[in-house]
Amino acid sequence: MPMLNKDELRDLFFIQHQLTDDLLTDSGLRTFASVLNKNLDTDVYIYDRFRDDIIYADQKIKKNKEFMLYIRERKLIRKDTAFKCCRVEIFEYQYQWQGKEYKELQLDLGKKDKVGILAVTNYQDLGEYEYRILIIVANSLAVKLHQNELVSELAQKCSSELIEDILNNRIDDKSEIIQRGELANWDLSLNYQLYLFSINADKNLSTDDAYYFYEIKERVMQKLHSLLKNEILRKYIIFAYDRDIVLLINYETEAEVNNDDIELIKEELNKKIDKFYFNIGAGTYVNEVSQISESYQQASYVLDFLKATERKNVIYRYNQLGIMRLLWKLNSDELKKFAIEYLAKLIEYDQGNSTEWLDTLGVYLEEGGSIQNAAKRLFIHPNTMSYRVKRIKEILEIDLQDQEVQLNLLAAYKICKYILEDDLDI
Amino acid sequence: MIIVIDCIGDPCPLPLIKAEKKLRKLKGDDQLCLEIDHNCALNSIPEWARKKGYQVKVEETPYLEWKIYIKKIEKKQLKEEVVFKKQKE
Repeated sequence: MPMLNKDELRDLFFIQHQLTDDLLTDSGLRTFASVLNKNLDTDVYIYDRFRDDIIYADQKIKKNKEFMLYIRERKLIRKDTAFKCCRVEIFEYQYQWQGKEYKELQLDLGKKDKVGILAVTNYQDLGEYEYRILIIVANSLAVKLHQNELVSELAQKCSSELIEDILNNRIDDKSEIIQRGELANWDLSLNYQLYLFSINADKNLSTDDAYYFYEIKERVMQKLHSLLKNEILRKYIIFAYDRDIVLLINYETEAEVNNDDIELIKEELNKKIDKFYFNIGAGTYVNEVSQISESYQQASYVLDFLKATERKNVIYRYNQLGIMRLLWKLNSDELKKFAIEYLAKLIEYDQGNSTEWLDTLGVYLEEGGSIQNAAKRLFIHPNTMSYRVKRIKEILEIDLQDQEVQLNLLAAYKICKYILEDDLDI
Repeated sequence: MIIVIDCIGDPCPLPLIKAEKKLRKLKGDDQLCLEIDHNCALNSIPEWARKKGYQVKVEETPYLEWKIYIKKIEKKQLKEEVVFKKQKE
């Protein structure tokens, strides 16, 4: 193999220095690729084999709309070593695509931790000098891509910490948290309506579909981005937290909150999601960043309530919870005692007779004591409803017309059904 | 003079940090041209620069890249805007 001459060695040093400067001045990938465009007269792209994604491609390559098709469909015919030096091996790949043959030079970016594959196309015969330029550029690109990965990981970590701080209200300085939000592209100085989305699989989900469950959250996020950008046209913040998705939509005032927006989201998600169901809990309106935490807690309560009541694909607001908002915060032993005091006899009757008269009573009370409405909701004849109410009165030995009794029974029923979830140990 | 900053392949918030660094040193009529290929930077940088009082222009290319031009707003131009607003009121 011929040795490099003095001029070539000097040029290689010069290129090396230039690339070091490019790294120190945080240049983008194009700057590094342009060294190859200029010195080797080739086209360049960088491929991520693990993510099956193109990290970088020259503008000339990007303009070719069939390039991605070529990457996906090409068939490998041959792979030969083109140049080998200093633990680096450059391979020449020969592919076939749509009846034609294509040649590419490829080398790994990084040795232990590969950050990508550098590929050059459309090249003429290359000598040692050109191969060495390729290696020098590949080394710089490996460092650059490694830096990029670190930045991404750091940004992800900062976002996660920001989310934790906001949702747990660890905010000492509002302006500081607003500034941290800017780095994540979130405008935390605005007012928002908070929505919390929970996605759950239907009970009869097969094992194959279970894999799909991990993808569904990502798909929902993408759909939400698209709806907010193209249909709702409002500023928003969206992120995944725990198993749920938090969405903040900007409305200047509380009066401006448009329920049609969240209804549209619900309808679109209904169309998109199959074999899964979702619920949307809405917290109270957020006037400043420090209120997000409370609004999130409220929306979480709503989702717990919807789960306990087996509701699917519904939007429910915290202020719709009524008395449940107060009951939820009490000690569960106290709540249990209260529910047993009022409902034990009826629950025992249901257990002994395989009836569901506790629910009959609940619906009757929720319908304000209307036989007609309660019968309609339970899909039974009003006479059947009247009979059951008469029997419930006898079992509980109470006067159902007494408003005080009605209030206590309704509270006991809601505790039993929605908070203790029928777990009364009678 | 247009100062071009290559942000191709840069993850967020790297383009924003690069822009912030360069803008501090921006003189007179000079303007920055950020070449980006990340959606995230396309959303965050123009908004951030406008908030800081810069003039922003976004140019789209046919190959999923964007050029964001950022320029200081001249004092004269600012004054004119204030006068115009007052007249409107």
